[in-house]
Amino acid sequence: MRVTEATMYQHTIDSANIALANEAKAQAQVSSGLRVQSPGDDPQAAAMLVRQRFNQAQITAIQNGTQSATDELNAADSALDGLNTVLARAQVLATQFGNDTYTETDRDAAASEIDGLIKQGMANLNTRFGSRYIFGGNKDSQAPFDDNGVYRGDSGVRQVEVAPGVYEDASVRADIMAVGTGGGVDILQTMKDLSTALRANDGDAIRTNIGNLTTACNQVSTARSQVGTSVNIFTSATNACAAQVSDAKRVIGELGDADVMDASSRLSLAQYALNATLTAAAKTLNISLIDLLNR
Amino acid sequence: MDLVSLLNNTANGLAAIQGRVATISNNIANASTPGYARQNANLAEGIPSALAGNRGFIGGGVILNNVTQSRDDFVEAQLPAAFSNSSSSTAESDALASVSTFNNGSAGDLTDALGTFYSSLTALAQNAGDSSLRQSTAQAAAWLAATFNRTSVALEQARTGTDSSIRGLVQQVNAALTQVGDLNRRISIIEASGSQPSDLLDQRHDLMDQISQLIGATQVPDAYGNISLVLPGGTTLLSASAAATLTMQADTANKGHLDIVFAPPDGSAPVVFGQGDLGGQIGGLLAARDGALGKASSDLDTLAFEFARTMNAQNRAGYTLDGNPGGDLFTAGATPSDAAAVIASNPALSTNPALIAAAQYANTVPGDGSNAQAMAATQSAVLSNGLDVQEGLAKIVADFGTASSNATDQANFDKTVLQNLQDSRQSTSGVSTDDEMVALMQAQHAFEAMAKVINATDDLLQALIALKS
Repeated sequence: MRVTEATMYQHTIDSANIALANEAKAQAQVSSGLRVQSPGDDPQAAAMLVRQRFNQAQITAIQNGTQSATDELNAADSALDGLNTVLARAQVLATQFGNDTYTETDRDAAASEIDGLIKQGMANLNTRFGSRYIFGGNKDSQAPFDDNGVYRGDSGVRQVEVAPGVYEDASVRADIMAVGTGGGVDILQTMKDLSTALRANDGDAIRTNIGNLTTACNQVSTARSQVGTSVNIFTSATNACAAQVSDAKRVIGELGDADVMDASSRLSLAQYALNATLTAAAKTLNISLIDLLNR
Repeated sequence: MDLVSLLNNTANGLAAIQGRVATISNNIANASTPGYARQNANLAEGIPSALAGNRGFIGGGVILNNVTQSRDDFVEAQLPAAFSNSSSSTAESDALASVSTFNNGSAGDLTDALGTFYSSLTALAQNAGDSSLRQSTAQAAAWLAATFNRTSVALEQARTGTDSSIRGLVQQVNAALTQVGDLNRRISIIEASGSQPSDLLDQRHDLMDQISQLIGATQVPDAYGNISLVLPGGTTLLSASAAATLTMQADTANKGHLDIVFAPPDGSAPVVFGQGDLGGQIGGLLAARDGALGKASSDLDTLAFEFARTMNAQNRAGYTLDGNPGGDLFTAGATPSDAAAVIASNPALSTNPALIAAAQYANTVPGDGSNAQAMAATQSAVLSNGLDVQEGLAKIVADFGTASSNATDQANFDKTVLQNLQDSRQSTSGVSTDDEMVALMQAQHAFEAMAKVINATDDLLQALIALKS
């Protein structure tokens, strides 16, 4: 093929443009750390990145939820532990002062202690976590037990997502645990009855409440057991989410991030190619018959 | 042959060589002129003189027979399509590469905004009565709508940018068509007289190259020296000196983007070009505008519309913090058309986030977040396009990326084909100063030799004149 100066000039320009474009691309990858910068670089990876970033956001949200649920259930467990202590002391007092050897004065003093325990129990049942009362069911913006110990909450149970589309109970039904709906006893009412019986110096009535207090303790224990189970589930879910988020980050990195060594090598190669192109152009374009004739 | 005839022959030879030197000079001067094809001064033997008695002939020297252009018709026939293809795919590739709205690592992009919105709903579902969570969900909704708007605007701005480019290119096509029509007329007149108007042919070639690059027209020569220009869709842009005019008009069915209208030179009704009718840079820009960019814009509208519809339906299924039935969280118009551009969150949300219907029943407020949970779960719900939100967005990105990648690959391929053909054209038609210098030296030596002949002939004549005296 006959080669003219115009061909050589055009080849030089084209080659330099390609080398410069390669250099710019490699440089952008090295400086940004991203292999896939625009979807055109790798369409399938770009689509996968959208899915993975979406997935990461979803799992992170679930992880935040399970962590928050764990914290709240731990708070519920602390409150139930407090309630349990209150009931245990009430049981001791009921058993002790159910004995008719105690005087009216002794029982009156015990009734005063029971009144104090009722307040403690109410404080435990009106526990707040953040802005919500955790034993109010869906009615969580006000204290679930009023000053008279009457339950104002409902039977709502909050469910929290532990995996996409999978939900787990994250609250205690205080209407069952504390009020005794469905066959249990009303804990606060039982304690009030005990207090009344103590003040009335009514040994039979006091002894009747011992059994009710045992039932109340069982109700609290059952609730704590459920809380414990839920905490385990949420803790596992939190750990699983952390692993999934970590996986998603790794996949995002593998799909979209530049291999720094590879990108640096390609940058060096592109610079070498550009240098070679310009050097070759400088040498070849300099050779002309005109120059030789002038010597 | 007498000495005077010998002098005449030599003088003719000198004139021929001068013509050759002039051609070489012209070649060198035009070595970098666009469209110029190397010219050859073709020498031929002069008419010989017969010797008496059938003893043969004495040569008649040299004459300049003609000056012709060096063009390879095989290569020239392939170049318009190569110009068209390369310009088209390069324009499409460049237009798509300039759109960065789907770039990876763009913080605050649609993937981020959707993820943040659904995450805020998941958090709200856990504590539906919390005013700060409601406020952040309302803000996430507003941010998501704004992100849909920004993404849509970015795509539409890219499409509008192609309109501006196309407008300028169409003006160039019209100007070039008029010039080629004029050149057709002048060339056919000169060629009818048997001459080859090299300079006009060069100008026409250069203009035709430009038109091929601009709009993808290929050339069809006729027997009278005219070149007709035909578009990829079969429309004749130029016939002899009758050039069509291209104009532009807004297409309301295509978000007001510009259509190219063909006004035939015979005055018949104007025709609106469709996609595929045009090639070259204009065809490539149209392919980018109404192809990948148009599809991404339209798919984004569908996604925004379906997202708003699904979210509104779920919000209406629940109850607000005040125990009232939920309303619409988003407005996105009555049809998917332009939905991504106009989608907005309910403005009342920013001041009254209680309007988010997080509860499933009126009597389960404020703590019930079941409906917020259901709203968050819509991210996995299959929309009318058969995909969920995540897959819908991933598909938009994948489709756009594939179109961009294919256009880039095609542009590289077309560029290589064009470069090879241009090398072939240069091989035949290009000017090599080395070639011309050698030819110049050859002509110079021939000229010097002929001058010697004149000198010798002069000496002979002087000798004869001296004999007589």
